[in-house]
Amino acid sequence: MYLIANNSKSEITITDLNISLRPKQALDLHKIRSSDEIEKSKNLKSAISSGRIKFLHKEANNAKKEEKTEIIVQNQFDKEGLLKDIQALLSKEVDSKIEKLNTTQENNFIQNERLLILLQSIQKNMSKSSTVDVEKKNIIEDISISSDKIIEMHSRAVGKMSKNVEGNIISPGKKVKDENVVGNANELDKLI
Amino acid sequence: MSEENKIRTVAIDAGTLFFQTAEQDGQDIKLQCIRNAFVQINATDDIEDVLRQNNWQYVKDDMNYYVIGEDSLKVAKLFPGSVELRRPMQNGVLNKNEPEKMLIMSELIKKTIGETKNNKSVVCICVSSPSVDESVDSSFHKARLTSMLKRLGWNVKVIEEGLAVILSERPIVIDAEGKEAPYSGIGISFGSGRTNCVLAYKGLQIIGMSSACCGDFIDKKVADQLGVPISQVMSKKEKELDFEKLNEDDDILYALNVYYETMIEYVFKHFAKKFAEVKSEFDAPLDVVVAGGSSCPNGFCLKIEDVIKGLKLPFKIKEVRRSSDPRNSVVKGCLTQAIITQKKILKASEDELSAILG
Repeated sequence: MYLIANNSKSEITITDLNISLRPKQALDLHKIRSSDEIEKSKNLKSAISSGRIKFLHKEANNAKKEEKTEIIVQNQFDKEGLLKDIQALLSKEVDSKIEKLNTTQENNFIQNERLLILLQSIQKNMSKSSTVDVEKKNIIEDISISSDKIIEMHSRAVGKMSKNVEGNIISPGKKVKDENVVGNANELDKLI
Repeated sequence: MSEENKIRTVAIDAGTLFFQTAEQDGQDIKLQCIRNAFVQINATDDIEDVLRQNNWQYVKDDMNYYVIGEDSLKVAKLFPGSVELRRPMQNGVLNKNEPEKMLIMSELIKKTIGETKNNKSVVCICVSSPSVDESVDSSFHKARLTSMLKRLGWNVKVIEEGLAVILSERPIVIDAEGKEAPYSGIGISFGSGRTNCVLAYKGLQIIGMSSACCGDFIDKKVADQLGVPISQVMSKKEKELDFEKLNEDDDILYALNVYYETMIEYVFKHFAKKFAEVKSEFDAPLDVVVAGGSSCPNGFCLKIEDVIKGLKLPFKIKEVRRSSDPRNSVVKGCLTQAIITQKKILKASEDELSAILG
């Protein structure tokens, strides 16, 4: 990371890096330019030395410089504006990480690798569960329970439900003469 | 042999609207019919006195009283809005949304056919054929009913409702050589909760199907379309609907006619599909026999003939006729089967029993 910010009230262009910064805008130069180009940029150095551009943060061994810079940042910068810019920057960072999973840039590599591993693990689990579903389905289809056992289960349930039940239902019914019923039964008995 | 230990032959048609039984009594048949509905009344100190004074039929458990049968209609009318008319059965099977269904059904069975002490006694019950539309689980219904009856000592034989119509009405197919094959043809039970349809040959079922397009469906659709109470539709249907002399100026009768035609077309189209699926081959024209409460309006058979004229069916129809006793045809058909099963049990050994009962 090589974070800089436009300390002035007007837009600044760093010609040899071909970048522009709006007033109070912060930018990570490593996103768009290599360390080599940044180190070689005279316009950048000039802008930093003039105070129009402030150097904020670099990932390296310039800890003391960073501290000083930090103090200067606290005293001289529009904190809120800067925070907003940093937030915007970070969200951009996350978006680009998601898009560029296979980037070769060293800074992104480890996090992308972690994300890849996570995605692969999710995919594995999804395919595992569908296998389990298929297996379960096969098992369920293979199970059959004897009708005697099913009836016994129902019988117990009915016994419990109808315990302590009484009623006064009287259905006298009616007697009818229907020769067809017995006649049909006799005929069918010979047929079947 | 004492009365208690005598061999009994009984049939049960546990319908959505009515719970019916038939029992062989010598040369006679004893028929019982109880409306399959109830209302719940919370237990109070004097409730039992009220019930007895009014001679209402009820069932009670630890917590509540349940007035059943025709009396439940009376109570529901007396207290509209306060008590709800409930049904143990829905769409031809035990009502999965009714928690007290088993309580009511078990008591109905106990008080109608009761227990038997003789291990040769047989009861035949009917269930719906596999459904072509809604997913209705007949297996739970069949297992529950069977268990309730076995607990009371009965041997249980189960047949499909459409087959019961065939056993009762004896349709005939005459083949190309002029030979008669009785108990052959199509049997349709147009019930309240389901319409059941079976093709059989010499009393053996070949295919069966059921559908939710039935009496309750027609009542509800007409009531919804016209914005009238279902009770009004049912009353018109039972008292005034006549397909031979249809009063098309009456909105309810007009709508009933429309939905009856829809039901007939739907049932025959689906049956034809089932027929074609099993590649059944019946060259000879088939008798169609109909039964069930929804087949009662005058001119119903003519209506069927009229509707099926416009359909392409994979079989020919010789005649459409209705049972002479459409409300009892199914239970009588079940009794016929019970008698046949009884004869076999009396001849058979213990090992052969499960094969006979199926």
